[in-house]
Parts: sequence; C-alpha cells; structure tokens
Amino acid sequence: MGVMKIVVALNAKVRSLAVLMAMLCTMSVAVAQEHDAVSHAAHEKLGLATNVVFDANGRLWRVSSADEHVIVQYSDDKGRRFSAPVKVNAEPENIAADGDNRPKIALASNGAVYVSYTVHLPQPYAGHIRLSRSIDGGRNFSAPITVNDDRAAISHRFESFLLDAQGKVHVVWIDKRDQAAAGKQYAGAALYYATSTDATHVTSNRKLVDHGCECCRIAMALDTDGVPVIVWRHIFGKSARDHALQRLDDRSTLIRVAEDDWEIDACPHHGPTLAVASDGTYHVAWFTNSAKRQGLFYARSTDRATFDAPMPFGDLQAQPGHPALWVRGQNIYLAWKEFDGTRSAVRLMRSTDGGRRWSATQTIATAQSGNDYPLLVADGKTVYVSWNAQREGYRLIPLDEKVASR
Amino acid sequence: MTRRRWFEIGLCLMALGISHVVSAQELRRFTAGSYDRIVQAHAGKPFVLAVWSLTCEPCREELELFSGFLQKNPQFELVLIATDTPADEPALRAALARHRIARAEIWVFADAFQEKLRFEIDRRWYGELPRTYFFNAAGVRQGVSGKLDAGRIDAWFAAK
Repeated sequence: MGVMKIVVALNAKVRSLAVLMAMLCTMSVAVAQEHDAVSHAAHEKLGLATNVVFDANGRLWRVSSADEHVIVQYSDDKGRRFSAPVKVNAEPENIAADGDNRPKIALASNGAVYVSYTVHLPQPYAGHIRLSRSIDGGRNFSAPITVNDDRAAISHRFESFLLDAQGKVHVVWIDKRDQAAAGKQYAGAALYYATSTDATHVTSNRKLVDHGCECCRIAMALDTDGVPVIVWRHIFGKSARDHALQRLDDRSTLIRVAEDDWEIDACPHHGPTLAVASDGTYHVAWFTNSAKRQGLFYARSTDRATFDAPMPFGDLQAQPGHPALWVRGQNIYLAWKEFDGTRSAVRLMRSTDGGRRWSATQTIATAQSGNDYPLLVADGKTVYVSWNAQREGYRLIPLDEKVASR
Repeated sequence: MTRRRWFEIGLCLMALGISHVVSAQELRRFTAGSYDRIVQAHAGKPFVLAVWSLTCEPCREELELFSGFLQKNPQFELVLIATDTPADEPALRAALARHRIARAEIWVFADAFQEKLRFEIDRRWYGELPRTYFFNAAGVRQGVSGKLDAGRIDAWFAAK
C-alpha cells in the first residue's frame, strides 16, 4: 500500500512516532473518503441479496442495497435492464442485507410500492424494523418509520411483511424485548406483529408468540380468507428448533409443521418458505438437520390443522438449502440451491396435482461465484426463477418453456 | 460511516497501540485452500477449529467459554474462523476483545462464494453456527453444531 512506502520514507526524518502515526491516520482516512466519493459516483455495486415482485403491468420491481442504502429499481424487459437506482433511506444506515435478513418489497393494488428492512445498530445483534413507501411510482420514498415500538438497542430483526387485499401492511418480526426483560432463562426471541395503512403510522405492537428461533426468516402468505399466515422456526421444549405455522387472527393457535426434533442451541440461519393455494392448502418447505431428518423437506396441510408426512428433497451431499415455493391452483414450483464443490445450482421440482406427486429434479441455472438465494416470482402467466450472482449477474429465468412439458 | 472507513480507523487505533492483545494478531483471509493449510499447519497436535459469526448470538457464549479455557490451558490451540467479511474486521476485533480471546489464530471468510468455503471445511455442514471441530493428534476430527458446554471441551482436552 502506498501509505506504507511513505511511512518508510518519512521514518528517517520524523523522530516522534506519535506524530508519524497521527499523520498516517489522517492520510488513511482521507484515502477512505476518496474511495467513498468514487464509489458513490459509480453507484457502488449492488449487494447480492435481492427481493422481487411483478406489478399488474408486468413491470418487475427489485429491492437490494448498496453503500448503506436500500435501493429500488424496476425492469420493463424481464430483468435484462433495470432503471436507475432510487434510494429508500435518504440517511445512510447499516442495512441488513444478506442471507435470511434482507430488504423486502411488495405492491399495493393502487400502485404504492412498500419496502421494509432491518437496520443494524452498533450494539451486537441489535436492530430496528423500518417501513417506507412510494406513492409516485417509485420515484420518491417516504421517510422510513420504525415499526417496533420498543426502542431499546436490542434485537428487532428478520422482518417479513405483506399487503392484504385492502392495502393494509402486515409486518412480523423477531423481537427480544421479552428476552431482555426475563434474562438468560428466556429461550430464543418472541415474534411481534404490527399493521400500517400508510407507512406513516403503525399500530402498537402485539406479541404473537414466545420462543421463536433468533435468526431465521419468517415465511408469510395470505390465506384464502385474507388472513396472513406465517411459518417460522420455533423452539419447542428445551431447544428443538422445528417449524410452526400460525394464522394471524385472534383465534388460531400454533400448529407444528413436523416433529423433526432438531435439538440445537445454534443459529441455523435457514428459514422456511410457505405458499397457500387457492383451495386453502398450505404448502411448506424447510431445512432441518436432526438425528431423525436431515436436509430439505416439503409438507402440506389440507385441513389447516395437520400436516402430511414430510417429503425429503434435494441432494444431501450437495448442501441443499434455501427453498422457495410458488403455487397457483394445483401447480406448485419448488426451487432451492445446491453446491457440488465447484458450482452452485438452482434446482427445481414441479407438481401439477397439488403436491401429491412431484417431477424429477432439474437444474435451472448454475453459478461459479458468490450467489444469492433463488426466488420464485410470477407475472400474469409465467413463473420465473430470480437469481443473483456476483459474476453471472442478475438472471430472471422463465420456467414454463423448460418445465411445462414434463 | 462506511465499513471501509471504520476499517481505516481501526488500523489507526491499532497503529496507535490502543488495541487489545488479540488485535495485534493478523486477521487472516480464509479463501479456497485455507482449510487444508490450517489442518497441515496443526498436524500432529490436537486443536479446536471453531466457526462463528458476528450475527450468531450463541457464538457469544461460546467465545466466553473458549476465553476461560484459553486462560486455564496454555497448550490449548484454538483456530477461530468468522463467516463475516474482511470489511467487518473492526467489529470482529472488538468482539474478540470483548470476550477476552487473548490467544487464538483468527481468520475471516474472504470470498463471497461462501458455499465453496463451507464445502471445503465440511460438505455435510449446512452453515449453522456455532460449528466446532475437535481435532486429535492423529488429525481425526469431530464436528459439533450448536453451543458447547464446558464439559465437552474438558472431555476432549482430557482425552486428547
């Protein structure tokens, strides 16, 4: 590094080490600021972690992050080119943007674009949940509000949200306020819930359940009657980190998706996925690594109370993980990621009978660089795999041509 | 304040000698091939290789456990690999200092292609943290997911 050469050159002349170090610091920070200026100009590379959604006109909206900002863009040519990045948060923030914790995006039927994200606080594991919206087609975003009404510098993270048919925003997240109050004997973290109609005000927070796992994404979908449903990794008993489902009305109680009995005091960083079919069937996929079951599993519930026996999928020798589900009628797509030692691959199975029977596994795309989770997204007629990779770039891969005939 | 600037300021603090002991050690970049080099470098000696992350809460207690064990046992060899990024160096050093990890070989993942790094460590490890490997003198390892209890390390150390 150039700075070091200068240090050597100066060394003979400057006797005071303190003076030298002070100079080094000034120079070093100045160099850093210069770098920042350059990267701002070049719209520093977008982070890998993305979420996407199609609007009714076939425009693909994408949220990601860059340089302490949540970034929204859209594409009118199926993901080949994207619009200029628009910053959601005007003030730079430390955005959670990888793995199971990343910005989310959803659209209201009136065209409003909603974005949620977690901002990391300087304290370890601490965060706040933010919500913002644009009512001018994504040109400007409202000042982000903080959704969690507990403002202690503790964990409020891993938010998920969706919009119901009335345009109300439902946000769910992992919240450690109860753990902070109770101390070490409190296992895991609670799940909290709030709603908003305008991303300006938010309802007071309501606790959904105690003892969720601390670091896995929460899957969320609308039930056929418009009530949100969530699936999350829960702590059953002492430390069995298995999955639970609950409808977010006041009557429903927790349903255990499967008795994997994954007894572990760890962060799997590996949350589930959920889709609700128009006939009311719940489809869930998840990862576990217990003595009883290892790898990825799929199960469905047709009675909103019990789940069928879990069906394994994916190649256990190839690090299977991070599943995504998409369902319309009896058609179900199930995508996930594998790694064979050299390449990552998006693998896919399809069912055309509501999840009773499944096709053979196919490879949809591969990458030989750092890559994101695969996502499933659909416009009016086609289902796509959305996948971001460092070297291969962003890809939106239509599935129907490849899969429909099988 | 960007991560890079924190990094620069962290370097300054190091240069000014304000940092904790472990900060004086190099934070090595864990890339393709690093795992084999670590195992070779420790061949013939028992050691513990522990994978952790700034975002992993149970890892915090695990670091505390290692800290106490390091102080009690001068022969205990510990290799710590963080799955964060090199840009997190100041936060990683702060965490190690906070948990008084005075003596350990410290590494950080330095390739966004994390699957590759994970696969080289263990193709049957799926990324859950903490993840700990106990190596005996013959180089045979045992992997454990989740927070350890003190008895687990004691038993390994006594049997090694």
